[in-house]
Amino acid sequence: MLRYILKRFLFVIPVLLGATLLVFTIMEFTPGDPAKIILGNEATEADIANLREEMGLDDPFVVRYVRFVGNMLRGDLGISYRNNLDVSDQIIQRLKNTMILAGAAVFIAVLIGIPVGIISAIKQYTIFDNVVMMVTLFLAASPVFWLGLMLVIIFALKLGIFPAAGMKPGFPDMFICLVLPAFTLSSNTMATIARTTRASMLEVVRQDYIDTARAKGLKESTITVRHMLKNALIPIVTMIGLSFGGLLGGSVVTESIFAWPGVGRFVVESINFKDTPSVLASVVMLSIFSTFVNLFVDLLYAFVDPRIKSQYQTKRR
Amino acid sequence: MGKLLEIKDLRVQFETSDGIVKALNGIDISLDEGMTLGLVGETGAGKTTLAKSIMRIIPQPPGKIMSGEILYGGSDILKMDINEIRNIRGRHISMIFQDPMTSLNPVMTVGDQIAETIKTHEKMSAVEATRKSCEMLELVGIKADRAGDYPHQFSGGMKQRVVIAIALACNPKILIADEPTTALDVTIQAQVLEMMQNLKRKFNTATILITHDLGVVAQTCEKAAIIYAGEIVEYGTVHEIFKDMRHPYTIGLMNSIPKIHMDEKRLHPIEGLMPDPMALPKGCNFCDRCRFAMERCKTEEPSMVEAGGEHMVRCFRAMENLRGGYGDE
Repeated sequence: MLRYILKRFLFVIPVLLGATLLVFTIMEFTPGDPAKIILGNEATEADIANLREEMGLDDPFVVRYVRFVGNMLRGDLGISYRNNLDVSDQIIQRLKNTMILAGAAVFIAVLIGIPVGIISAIKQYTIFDNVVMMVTLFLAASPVFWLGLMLVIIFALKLGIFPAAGMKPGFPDMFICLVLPAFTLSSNTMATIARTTRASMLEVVRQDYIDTARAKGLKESTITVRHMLKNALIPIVTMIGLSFGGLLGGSVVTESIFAWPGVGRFVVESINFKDTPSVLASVVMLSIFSTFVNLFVDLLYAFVDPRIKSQYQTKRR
Repeated sequence: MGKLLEIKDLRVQFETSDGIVKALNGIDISLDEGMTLGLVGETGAGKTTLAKSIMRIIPQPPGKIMSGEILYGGSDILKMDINEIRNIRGRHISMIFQDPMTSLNPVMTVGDQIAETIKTHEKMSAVEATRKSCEMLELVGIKADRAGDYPHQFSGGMKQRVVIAIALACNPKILIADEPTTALDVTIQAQVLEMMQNLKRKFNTATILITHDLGVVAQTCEKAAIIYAGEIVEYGTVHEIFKDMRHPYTIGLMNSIPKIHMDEKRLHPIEGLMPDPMALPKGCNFCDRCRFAMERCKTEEPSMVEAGGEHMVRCFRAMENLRGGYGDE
């Protein structure tokens, strides 16, 4: 088990190299000269040339990329072009905010998606099931930016229940500010979880061991939770793990709509400023974060399915 | 010996989008205490439906119990509310399913699966239930220290032993075994059957053994019922059925078994297929495949005829010596 975890940790390396190379290349092709942006409009050609020399911007692409990787391995993610501050320091706080948002979104998605999916499966083809199927199809199909704006219009502008944007610290304020962005971000995942749960439950309902469980004289609720859900969970866990990447992508849009001070919004701002170190650093952080989440999900499998657990165990009796 | 279970005129059908499948068409059968009844029939004859009806675990819809009574200790299982029937399941009547590969929950340890039944029906602490589940495992020939293992760590025969342990955990009065050995290979079949016989004797459990293997019936049962297209076509003691079979279907079944003492070049199947349960013929259900069929068989439904002792046959020509018509023995 431990060896497996260590092996999975090493996976971070290729993921990081791939992701940063991609972003580095794309940033290279975007128009604009960082030296010009830093010095502003009044700068002379000579000043710009000097700064470019100083920042090493005139070196070939490969040299700059290798230098970036070298610095990254030493934990130095560079200085922001925008404000000359250390990039890592700026990102840590924002990453925390993104984690709060993404965590809340997953929490909502699981808390609503799984029970709704279970009831839908047990009451297959009833009105409840049909309504759920329609609503989830709608949620899964609606783009995050549209849904976010609609929620803002209805709940913030018309009804005035929740703030339209921003984040305030402290318990009740933070929570209230979180509601709309978290719901927006979770909508897709929630709908997919509900549908996956329903499909997975329907598959399990017809299994022979459910008849066995019934023949034991168990309560229907016990059968549902202990025998059906536990078996149905395996594809659901897969789904949640897979959707996490999409969730981080969605956080870029959601954070921009709701002015949530997270990494996603930071990336958008940094791209606008052609602040390459900030963009790269954000990508590095998000990659590490999502690798950890995937590792966590894989370990969760072992918890859910003993057949997988015995694959991890190197020592068998 | 009193009647433990009595089924009267049970009719079950499945309403599908393609039409109504008549699975059981008036089953009458009874079971005495400690008795073993063999239920023989080919695939699709309604054997499993009958078993599941007794446990009342027919999925409804599409399943529908049209009429009939299933009397257990004088009260009708079909009229019980959900709590009453739950108390019957596992405690009074248990069931062993056909395929041990799929009838155990893959994400629960076998010990927990046995203990679950015990905890449901008996006032026992978790520790006692676990201890009893280990005893049950030992009883079916599995070492108690394997209670913490999951089903995928067992072989097919071992899994079926676990299923039997679950079924017998609360010492039920009736055990319904739905083709308990069909999915196992022959050597394991014999072991499992022998073990079931021994446990049955030990606990005096009445058993309904569903099978399509006449040999198994001859070895283990006292009574046998031959079921065809949702009807019992012949019923009697094993001795009566095997020595004095009267229904053409039973005779055909028996003839389809290759005889070891004769030099047979070809097998003797019963020609044709069972009628479509969505469109049963007007007369006798077997008449299309019956070599003794008369005009009357095509239009009139035969009823059960007594043929001495407990022997009952659903055939117009039950009193003739049809078996002689095959010209063997």
